[in-house]
Amino acid sequence: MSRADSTLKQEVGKFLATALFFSTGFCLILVAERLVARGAGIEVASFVQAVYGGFIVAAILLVVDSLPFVNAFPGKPLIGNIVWKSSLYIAASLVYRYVKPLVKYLFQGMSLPAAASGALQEFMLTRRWAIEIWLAMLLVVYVTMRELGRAIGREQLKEMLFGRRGKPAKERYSRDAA
Amino acid sequence: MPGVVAKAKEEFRKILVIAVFFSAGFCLIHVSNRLLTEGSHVEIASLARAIFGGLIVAKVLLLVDVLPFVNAFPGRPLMRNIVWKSSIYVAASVIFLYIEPLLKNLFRGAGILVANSRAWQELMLPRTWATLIWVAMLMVVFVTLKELSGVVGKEQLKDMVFGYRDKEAAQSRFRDAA
Repeated sequence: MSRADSTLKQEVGKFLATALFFSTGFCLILVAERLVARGAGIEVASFVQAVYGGFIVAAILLVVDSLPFVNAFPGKPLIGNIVWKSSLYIAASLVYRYVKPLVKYLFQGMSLPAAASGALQEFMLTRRWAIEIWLAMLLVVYVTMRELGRAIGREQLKEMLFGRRGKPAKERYSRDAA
Repeated sequence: MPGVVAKAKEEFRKILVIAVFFSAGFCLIHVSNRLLTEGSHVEIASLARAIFGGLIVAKVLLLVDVLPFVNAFPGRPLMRNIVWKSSIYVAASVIFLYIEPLLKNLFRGAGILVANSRAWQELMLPRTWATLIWVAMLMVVFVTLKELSGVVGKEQLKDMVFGYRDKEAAQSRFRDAA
């Protein structure tokens, strides 16, 4: 039971960290977009949507990570995994972008061809592609850092970035090394 | 003399890598902005300016790196250096964004007060602040990777990401390590 608890805790922690990363990124992008579009009457998403978007991306990543072919290049140079995983995540986000309005239209009582056409129209909006570019950039940064964390060691990377948090941790670390 | 040439070569390569990183980032941001503002009257900088912007940032970074207080936290957790250096680089970018129009106006024959007022006006444009947000985001990624390579080792990081390019060099490195 305690092992299941710790796994669950770890998964929730991972999910929250991912969501925080993307929500922060989206909020910053939103501020920049608002500044660019100021006074032009261009419709820009709200902050709630930006934060929510971060959680959606985290959920998509969690789903994609459970696929068997995600880790296609174990033991190979990281660039292979970075390109592969980033592409997979971007593809998954594109699928989500199409499926979301499709399902919405279907639930609104539209026929399948009409819903597909509506979803495709929404999919092709230039504003959506602008967001996709941002998402792709954030994904590449995220995957690169994660892969580096795997190669260097998650704990080591944390220590490099934030230092040793407590002495017991340090002692445990040296014990492990010995 | 060969030492000077090698040093110049190394410095040029350093500038080139930074310029490529920021130019690529700025170009993606440019495309994203184009898509966002399509059909509106919002004025967006050209693609050539985005590429040129990368070169300018590389130059600014190189100039800032010469300052004695840049490496303020040697041997400390990387997070401090990342926050510190990113802040300094962003501050330097703000100074550059003010000085550039100031000098341009001075060279055009405007008085110091008029030039100052125009430069200030340009700095206060929402578009300029949007650019600064993007510069800050790219800067954090850049500094994080640079600091990590400083700790892990430039060659090791390259090996991790791209694999061993030169088998003989890799073997000799392993021999050294053994």
